[in-house]
Amino acid sequence: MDCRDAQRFAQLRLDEEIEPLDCAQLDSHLSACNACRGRHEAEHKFHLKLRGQLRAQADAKRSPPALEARIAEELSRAAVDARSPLTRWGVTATAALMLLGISWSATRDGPDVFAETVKRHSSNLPPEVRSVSGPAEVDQFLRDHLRFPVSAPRLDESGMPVRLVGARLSSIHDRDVALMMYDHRGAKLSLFAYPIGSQGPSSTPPGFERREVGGRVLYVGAERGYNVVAWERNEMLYSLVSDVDTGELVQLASAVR
Amino acid sequence: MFGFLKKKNAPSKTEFETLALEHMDALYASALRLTRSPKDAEDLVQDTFLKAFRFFDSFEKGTNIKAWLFKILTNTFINKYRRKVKEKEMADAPAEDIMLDRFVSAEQVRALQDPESDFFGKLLSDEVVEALDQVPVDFRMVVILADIQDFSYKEIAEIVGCPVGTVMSRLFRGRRILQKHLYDYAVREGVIVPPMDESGEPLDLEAFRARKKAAT
Repeated sequence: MDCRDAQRFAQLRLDEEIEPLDCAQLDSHLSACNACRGRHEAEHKFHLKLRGQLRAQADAKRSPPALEARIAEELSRAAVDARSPLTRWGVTATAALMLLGISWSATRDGPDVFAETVKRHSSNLPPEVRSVSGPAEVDQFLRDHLRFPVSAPRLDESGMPVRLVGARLSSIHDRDVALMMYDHRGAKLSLFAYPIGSQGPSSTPPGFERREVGGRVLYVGAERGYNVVAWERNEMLYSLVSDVDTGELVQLASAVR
Repeated sequence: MFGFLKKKNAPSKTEFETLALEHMDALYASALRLTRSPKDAEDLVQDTFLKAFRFFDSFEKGTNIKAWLFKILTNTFINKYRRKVKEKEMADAPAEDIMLDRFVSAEQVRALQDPESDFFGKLLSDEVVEALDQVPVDFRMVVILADIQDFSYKEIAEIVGCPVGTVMSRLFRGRRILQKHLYDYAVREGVIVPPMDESGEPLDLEAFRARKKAAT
């Protein structure tokens, strides 16, 4: 073990992450190297004191009572939202489907489609193609890999500072999905698109709100802490997922052509 | 259009509160160090708890809920606040000199450890925290998770989503930068007298390099 290795392993020992064999080798080096031994002892003591100070300061820091109250209120509201109103009224699942105008034979998407899009959004997967010189590269990638026609919507045409980062292929319930990734002032936006065919007027999903903005029907809601805005266009379903404020997502969705 | 949107079982608020709320102070203290803004820290913690509650059915009971909560906090911070913090850092702080960190650190540590200076005895906890706040956010995050919240390298790697090797190098670098800031503070406050050259002027890297260049 040389001095450079000794410095590295000294950090591992400080953090109690060192393997026994490496520990023995470190001790052997320190017993032979005065410079490393002196430095190691000083650094070890210094870091222990510093750590003690940082922890004491953190332990003394309590979350503000107003914050705790706000969180309690938000959790209560979220708990109420999480309970399906249909279940509260004692309606069976089949009857619920009938009320929503959806029959079993028309069911193709499976459960929790928005939960699936949120999961993929939050998993931080990298793009398979990047928009380096413009959206044309992303459009070409989608054309080459998907059987349905889709191009990356130009969200920057809304006038908001949104940049197309890239895209990747995704899959929801064994269905190919285009996932386009955008950046809006450092926040990530994921836009999912897949074909749904012509199924006639749609029903508002439970927990979502139907809005008409700029001549477009949008479905606005939240899923697992993320905001979701969905709409249909040219027999495709688009679902925009992000941490970004709902108002801004609605503005983006309504401006897409 | 949307198909059969079957809702999963609603998460139990009581169970969530029992398991998660005890970590609120730790999350808030870390959020404060990450965002350096009490308002943003409160918003970050609030967002974290709401997300955690909505994702609670995906949490595996019996595993480390504190690490799970910190992963949500870190992801939310990266998505929502990190850019703002980094922009402010670039505006406020001069560029770090990597070689300077390494060159002076042995001297710094010895001076900071000198019992006669009693550096830590004179240091207020707020001053330690101010030094930590000057560490660039990507390194600061790892120092917070390791030195304050006592997570293992593996847990930190899962929380921040990078390899263990990256955690180790960021931790090493972050601690060096923190050490340097504390040393500079101690010199400014007169707690430590920096080593002098023959003419009585403080030694510094630039002077050292200039002398070495002149000698060759």
